[in-house]
Formats: sequence, C-alpha cells, structure tokens
Amino acid sequence: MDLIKSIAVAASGLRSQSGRMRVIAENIANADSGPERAGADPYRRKVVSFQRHLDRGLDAQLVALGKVQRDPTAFKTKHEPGNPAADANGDVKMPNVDSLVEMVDMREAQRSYEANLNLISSTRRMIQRTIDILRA
Amino acid sequence: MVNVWLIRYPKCHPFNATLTMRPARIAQWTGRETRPLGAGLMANDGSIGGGLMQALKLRMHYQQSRQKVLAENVANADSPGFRPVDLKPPSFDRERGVALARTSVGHMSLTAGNGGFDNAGAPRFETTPNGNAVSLEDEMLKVSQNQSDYQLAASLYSKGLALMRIAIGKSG
Repeated sequence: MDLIKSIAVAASGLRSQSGRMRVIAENIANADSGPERAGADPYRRKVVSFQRHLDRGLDAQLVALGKVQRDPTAFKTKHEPGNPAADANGDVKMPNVDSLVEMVDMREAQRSYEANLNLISSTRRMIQRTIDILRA
Repeated sequence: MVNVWLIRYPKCHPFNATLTMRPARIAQWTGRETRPLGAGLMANDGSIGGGLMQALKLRMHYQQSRQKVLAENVANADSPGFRPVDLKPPSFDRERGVALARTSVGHMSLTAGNGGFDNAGAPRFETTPNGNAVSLEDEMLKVSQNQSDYQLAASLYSKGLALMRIAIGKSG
C-alpha cells in the first residue's frame, strides 16, 4: 500500500535529518576544543552529506546519511601566549567551526524534520479517512 | 514506479438521464491489479456501482501514489542533485480506445498520446548550488492539497456506499 510506503519514506527523511542534527551538535559542542599540545591540530568541523538510494523492496527513493566528512578549510588562530598549546609566536590554532553557519544549518535541519513530520501526519489522516469508509 | 502492464478499460456508457450525471468512465487503470475493472460488480451498468465507484477508486489510488512521490521529494529535500517529480492526474476522457498505459517514460507507447501515469517534472524555481531543486513550501502545499482531495474522494466513496445501501433497502 502506497500510504504505508510514504510513511516509510518520510521516516527515512526523519532519520537522516536527526543524524545531521547530531553532527551539528558535535560541531557546536566542540567549537572551543583546541589542540592538546603545541603542533597538534584542534577539532576539525564535520560535514554531513545525504545520499538517496532506491529501496527495491519498497520501490521508493529513500534518503540516507552518507559519509561524514571533515571540513578542509583552514583553522582559526587565537593569540594566547599563556596557553600550553601555543606555538613560538604565542598563537593557538582553534577549530574551524563558525557558530553562525552551524545555527543556519540547524534551522534548516529543523525545517526539513518538521516537513517530514507533517507528511507523516497528513498520510496518517489519509489512512484514517480510508478506515472511516468501513465505519460509515 | 509501478512496473505493471496497465489496462485502459474501455466502456461506452450512454448518458444516464435518471442520475443526471454522466457516469465517469475509467480511462486507464493504474493499480497493481490487471483484472478488468467492473468485471465483478455491475459491469454492464454505468450507474453508482460501476462507473462512479471505479472512478473514485482510481482517484484514490492516484492520490496514494502521489503521496508517496511527494514523500520522496520531501525526504530528499537536502540530497544533492535531486530533482522533484510529480504525478500527472489520471484522465477520464472518452476518446481513448484500448491501449497499454505506460508507467515509465522509458516504455514504448502504442498510441500517439501520453500514458496517464508518467512522472512529470515539477516546475522548478529554486535550485540550490548543490543541484537540489526541492522547494519545501511547494511540496507541503501539494501534500495538503493531495490530502484534502483524498478526503473528498473518500467521502464521496462512502456516500456512494450509502446510496447503494438505500437501494437495497437498508436506510442509514
């Protein structure tokens, strides 16, 4: 039945959006995770990717979380001579996490999650309406 | 999509003056069954049992398939390179003869006309740099429209059942 399938498709969307949310939370939580010692790298921002794949049993295009990759952009530096991880010039490498970018990403994930939820409730109403034919 | 030979089922109903409504003829069948429509119930009569109920059934099947397609669009709202698709509504025109409907654009067509079930490209007015063209607002609009259309068809279906119940003498 196609209505059950649409719920399954929307559920795959929910799953991948919550996975994306998890990665964003990791990035925000580690926004200040500097290097442990001089010369080491601080936390590198993670980026999610989405992949669609055809589920043959369901005959539908589901979405899944692809490989989580690392953001290759340069680290930020902070002048902090007292830090044990500072280099000869007194600079400390800080993670390449921009909180503004993460916030925007988080909002987008939230919106997509809500859209999938709406679709599930709409589909459930349709199923309910079908069952109501029996009752009438 | 559904990979089944579809049967376009021709019936030539006369205009039914008693009901003052032209019985809707099934132009094509888009479900998984290949049984000719209306073979079981009141096949030769285009009144409530035949035409109307079958048309509503086809309509509801269409809404269900469309809901699945829209769910795919929403779920892939962030997939790179994804283009949204939509289903063409079934047509109830009377001119078509017996033909095989196409469920995929790759199928050969026996007639010059279009099959009723190809997935049309939705209008795209917003494409992100990663090639994704899903507009969530647009999709949600379609979902709610689809839902209310389905509810309309389902209500009409239960009204049709109530009419039949009256006809066999069980009121209410």
